[in-house]
Amino acid sequence: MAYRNFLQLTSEVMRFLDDFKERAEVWAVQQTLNDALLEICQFHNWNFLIDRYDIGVSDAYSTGLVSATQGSNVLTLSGGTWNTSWFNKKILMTGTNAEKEVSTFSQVGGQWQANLRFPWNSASVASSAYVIYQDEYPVPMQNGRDILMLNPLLRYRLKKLDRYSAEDRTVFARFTFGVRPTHYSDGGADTEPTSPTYNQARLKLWPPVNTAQDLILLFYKTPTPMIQDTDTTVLPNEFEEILIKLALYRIRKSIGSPGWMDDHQDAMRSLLQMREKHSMQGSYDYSVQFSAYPYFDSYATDAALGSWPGAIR
Amino acid sequence: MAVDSTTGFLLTTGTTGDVFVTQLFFRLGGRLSRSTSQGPPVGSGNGADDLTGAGAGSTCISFINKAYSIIEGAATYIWDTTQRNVNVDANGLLDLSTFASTSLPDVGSNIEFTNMNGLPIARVPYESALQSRPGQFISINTGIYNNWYLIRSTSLSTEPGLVQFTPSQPGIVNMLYNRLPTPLTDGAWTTGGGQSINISVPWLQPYMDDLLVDFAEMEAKRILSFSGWQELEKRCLEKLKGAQALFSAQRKDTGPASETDIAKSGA
Repeated sequence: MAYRNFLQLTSEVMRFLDDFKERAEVWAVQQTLNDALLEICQFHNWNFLIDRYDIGVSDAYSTGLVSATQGSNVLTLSGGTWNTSWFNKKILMTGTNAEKEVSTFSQVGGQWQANLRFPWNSASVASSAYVIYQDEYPVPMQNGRDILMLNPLLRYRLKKLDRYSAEDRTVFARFTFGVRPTHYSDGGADTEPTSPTYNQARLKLWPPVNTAQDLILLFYKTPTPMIQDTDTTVLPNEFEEILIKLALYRIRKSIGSPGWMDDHQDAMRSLLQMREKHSMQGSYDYSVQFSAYPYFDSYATDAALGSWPGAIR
Repeated sequence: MAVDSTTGFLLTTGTTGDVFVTQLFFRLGGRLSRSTSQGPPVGSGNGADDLTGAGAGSTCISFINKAYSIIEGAATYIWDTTQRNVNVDANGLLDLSTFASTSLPDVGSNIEFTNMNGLPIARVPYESALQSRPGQFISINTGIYNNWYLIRSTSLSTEPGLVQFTPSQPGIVNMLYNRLPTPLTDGAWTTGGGQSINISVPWLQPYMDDLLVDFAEMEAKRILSFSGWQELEKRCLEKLKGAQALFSAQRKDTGPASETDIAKSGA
């Protein structure tokens, strides 16, 4: 699809720097190209960045009994089996309303342990029933770039709330576990350094889910940097001139070569034009389609009615 | 100049040292010796002032080679430009001393490297040579070379030195450089391997042949205090300027200076 691959893009930028006094090192040019690519992609919710991720929601787990000592970060299990590959989990003791975040699970001397992110400051508990669940899921997306989340099985859209509203409206129903989540909100980022998804954005579901299923997240993806000669960008062909100009602007500015202001001006002018074009095209379909109400366009119906049946408001 | 004895046309090999010696010998009226035996170019027991050592007792070839070095050192000529693919070792080093003696790089003239995918490798000054290693960049192709700089050979005995590439890894690069002139000898000589070698100048231009003999004659007369060397020197330097303008490897116009002037004036 792409017009030029990474080698050709790098060559193109370096061709503009052909005078030996202007020459930049090839790695500086390559890094600059990838930085410029990120700049273009964050500039607008471009249609070509739309992507999908299937969130595999996990089963809850409650086999065995758990003991906790006041002040300790370690919970111990008897009669069950945890998993060291579990991350972003929470544990809730039966009869309490204070769930704890679990950083890691480990097995020491045959004894399964849950290593809490913050210590257990309630009274010590011995051999309590419990439930381990996950309501925050890392996703391969930058925060704020989600479009919507779908439940494909029941064919409905989850309502997105900002985190404050989500917590505010569910504060008395935090542990009303459910099979099908109806709401989601931003969940910060994965905080556990040993997790394979460390620092990835998380989305929080409500009600907390206890049954495995797939939810579909549509979002604007972050472009994959180019590394190898044959790598290409996600950009449409007509964006490549902008990419080259933006890279030239960055590299010329860094090596003190004249002309970088022109490069920047040209690139931004084109970028604004592209944004206008893409916005206009997308808006054609953003009107409410009452002709097929209420069957075919749940999003439009939802937007028109202002609420969805069963919504918490 | 080297001319085909049958057709009278120029040969495709340059003039050899013994031809220049013959001319110089004649111009000086036989007052300088020429070789009485043949030998290898350098380091085979020749006189200390004999730049090339081509044949014991050949003073003529010494002056020919003095003139040759003056001409070759004055510019980077198009006929010295050489291109080749070279292997870089596991430490990112290219030992220039491993080049054949007939194609040793002139480190004083421009040297260009590209990766085998065509991307240029920048030459960096010493003060910034260590500021651009792989860990200092992200989203780059670490399989290609980023920059290079010249360093002295650690053995202190092999020249012209080493090229250090970043990153320090093995690979192949394309090299464009100007080679050092190979000293001329007073006739062919036979190597230890039995090969007969008679080095020639890298040009075909009679203009350059004349300049070489003129320069050698001037140098000989100057050192031997013969009259007329000052006028000869003036003439040689003028011709050398012409050679620099005409045959420089960095020349960008397509004709001699006068052609450029004609183009400008429209005459």
